[in-house]
Amino acid sequence: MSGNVFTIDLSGLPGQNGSPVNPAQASTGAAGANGNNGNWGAGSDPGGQGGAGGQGVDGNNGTPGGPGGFLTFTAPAANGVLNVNTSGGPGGTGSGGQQGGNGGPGGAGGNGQGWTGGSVGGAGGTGGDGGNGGAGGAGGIPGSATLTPSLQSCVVTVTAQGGTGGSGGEPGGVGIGGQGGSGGQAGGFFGGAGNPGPDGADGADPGTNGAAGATPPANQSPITWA
Amino acid sequence: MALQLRVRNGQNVSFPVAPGNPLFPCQSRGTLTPEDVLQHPYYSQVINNQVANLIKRPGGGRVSAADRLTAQAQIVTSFIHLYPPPWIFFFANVTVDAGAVLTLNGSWINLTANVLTVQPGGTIRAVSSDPSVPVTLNINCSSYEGG
Repeated sequence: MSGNVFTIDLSGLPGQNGSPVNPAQASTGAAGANGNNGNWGAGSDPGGQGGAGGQGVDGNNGTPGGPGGFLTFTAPAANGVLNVNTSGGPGGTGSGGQQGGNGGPGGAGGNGQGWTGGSVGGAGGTGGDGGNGGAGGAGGIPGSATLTPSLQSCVVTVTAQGGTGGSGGEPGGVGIGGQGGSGGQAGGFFGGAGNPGPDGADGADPGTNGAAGATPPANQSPITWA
Repeated sequence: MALQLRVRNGQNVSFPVAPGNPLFPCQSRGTLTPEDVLQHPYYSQVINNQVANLIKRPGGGRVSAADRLTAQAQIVTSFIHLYPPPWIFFFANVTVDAGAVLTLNGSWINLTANVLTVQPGGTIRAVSSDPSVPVTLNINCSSYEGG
């Protein structure tokens, strides 16, 4: 049948996709504080942990799809096949979230003095969480058709389903942990240099996909006879 | 002046056309009437809702029929003033071949032809010039042959 169909297409226009967010990563975490130097006979302090990276911004939502159209078809004499499409347009796709920022570098370990060695550097900061994807736009509102009774001899198919919402944006990436600070300087005669601190952990949350846009309910009376 | 329009296989003919196009005499701008708006399946509901909000009494008292009609007339007049004027396309006969597309752009479109013939696989498409406004297509013909 589909190869023998004349179509009147009044479907709504697709919604616009969400505008992309700044692809640059979110801000890097602050550097950790350096450890205090040791005094004679007292050990130096380890470096402070780097700050966590900034969270990526969320993606932008897609716009709703355009509404389906309305048809009035008046033909006193009619013969043939007719397919009317009054669907709402599909919603736009949400844009992806921004990548989380890198963790800040760890602070340097305190310098040793006298007999004590330098302290270990601070751990790198945790990476920032990725931004969430933007939500898809809602589907367009379906329209309807009004046809004269003569067209009842035709095969009429009315598609009046609302458009589906756009899919959510891609999740943002995880931030990379900051590098540990360098060890403190060796003090006195025997103290060794401190070791670099460990890298911070990557960001834990990669950001979630945006929600799909809502689909409006189907038109309860997509076709009427004038 | 009524012309014959035939959209052949593989063609996508789009209206409105620019001045100087041979088909330009077949198009014009019209004016909506209050009946057009009040009989429309979508805008009639919008108008009714606006009328109900406009004449709503704080205490829920009854509203006279005269007040209702006055409010309705004001809203419909405002709607017609703001809505883009309809496009009117008038042809003697329109034939859309298989694989051909006749595209009509506008918010409110009236297509009139004596005989409308569409071969299997042909398409008439109406596209709203404003994505947020549903397109309205009115087809009037004496005889329709499709499929």
